[in-house]
Amino acid sequence: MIAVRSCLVRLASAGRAATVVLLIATAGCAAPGASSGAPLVTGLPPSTAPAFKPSPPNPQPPVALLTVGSSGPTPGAIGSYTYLGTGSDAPWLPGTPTTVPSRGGRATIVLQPAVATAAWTVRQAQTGDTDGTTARRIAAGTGPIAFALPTGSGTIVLVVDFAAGAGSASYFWALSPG
Amino acid sequence: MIRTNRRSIAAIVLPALLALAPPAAAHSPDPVLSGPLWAQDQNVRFRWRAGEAPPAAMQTAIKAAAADAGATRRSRAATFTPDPAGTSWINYGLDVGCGVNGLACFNRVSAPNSFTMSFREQGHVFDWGILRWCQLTANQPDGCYDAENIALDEFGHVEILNHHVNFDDQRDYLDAVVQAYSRAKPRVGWSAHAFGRCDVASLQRKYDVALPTSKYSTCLDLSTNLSIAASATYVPYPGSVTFTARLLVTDLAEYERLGGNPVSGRTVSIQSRLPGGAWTAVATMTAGPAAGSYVYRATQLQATADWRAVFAKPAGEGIRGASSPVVTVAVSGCTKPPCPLSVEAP
Repeated sequence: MIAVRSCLVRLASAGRAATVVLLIATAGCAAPGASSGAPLVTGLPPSTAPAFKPSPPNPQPPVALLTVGSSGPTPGAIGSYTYLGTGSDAPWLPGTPTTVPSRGGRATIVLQPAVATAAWTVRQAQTGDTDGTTARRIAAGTGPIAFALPTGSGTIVLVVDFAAGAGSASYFWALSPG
Repeated sequence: MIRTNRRSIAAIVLPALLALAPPAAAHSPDPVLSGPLWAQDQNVRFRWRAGEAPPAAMQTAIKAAAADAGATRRSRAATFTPDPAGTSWINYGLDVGCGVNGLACFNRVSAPNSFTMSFREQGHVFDWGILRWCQLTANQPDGCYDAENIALDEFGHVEILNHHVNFDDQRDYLDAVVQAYSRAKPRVGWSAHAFGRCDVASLQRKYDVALPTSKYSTCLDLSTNLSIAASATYVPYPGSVTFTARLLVTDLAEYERLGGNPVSGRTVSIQSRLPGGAWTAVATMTAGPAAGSYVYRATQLQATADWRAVFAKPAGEGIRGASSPVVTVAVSGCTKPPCPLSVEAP
């Protein structure tokens, strides 16, 4: 019963048709990868709370696209953010694998959809850094995001403060010279 | 389709969020989110979302985090209490509104009425690895995330806090729980169960401190204002005067709710000097009847002197020292009785 409900939750949140839900529910629901398992549904207390309704989607910050020279655009892996009264917390990320010119070059990052920004900073961390302690600022500014990308590998993280107090977000790329 | 929804939500919400928040400097109080505050000391009740309650060990951790928030806020920020009838909810599992890499997330759009909070399920496969909650993993291996710490971070967001801006090398990571980069065991800060001083600083600015005797976070650097008044500025020989000093946080707009606060329970001393002489400590003033007031009664005054109150910057608190203006108390030149019954100010 609980397992079937878990499937219903997942499919309903994905916006699938009710008929599909029923088919899957009767046939058993395959877990996506290793992300679910029987122990997770043990110990659920009886609830007297209102009936379940799927979550409305929280507003999501824009995608950040990195272009270095003629390579890209490459979307950054989004880490922690706050946005329009909502937010999400993530660890330091290794970043989206991105091949960049071995000599570095002029880098630009655009947000899609375009959102006004108040300020931004770009930091670069050593390859293998798992919590950002080696990160050092390489650029900062307001307005369009453009900077000189140093040579070498590593992770760069862009932190954007959105205008009008709308929040902030961090985006990661794992650079490897091509 | 999704993008349309995002735009619709943004179009609705953005106009309500026009409060400008300048970017925070490193090591300053946490930046804050736009949007409404909770009422001071509001007790916000939350329940587990039907059908998506966290496993028992996670519930324990989340409830502990709620208690941590209340116990360590050092301000009049909201408190959080589990209650099956609560209008706010917390869920666990697959139906979370978190970002693609998010361990946990929050929504405070409906503050001050309610909030939501979500935690990813144990074993969730991210691009960066597999999520392990320490509370749900045998022997709490390295790499697991402490649900109590992460939940406290979320409660901080729900209050109003944005991510702390650390120094580049993050040596100040312990100054805040509300961090942009959550840390797994055994990284520094992975199991912090109290708001850090820079979390508290912003909570104090937004919600005020509880009492005039409450300590201000050392992540703040508030200027203070010390005034002094004398019960008389011309007295017969040998005269008596009562000095009353008042210590306040300077009333600056950027101090938000802290500006103008009376500051009680601190050490305020009184000093005097003969005209043209050096200042000499006379006594420590005692607490006066009004909040932030300090009094001292000087007796047997035999000579005209300047007086001032002094508040030295206290250790372990984020307020600056201050000196009051100087008040001169003149003493009649008549030193041998009988002196005139009444004197006139010079």
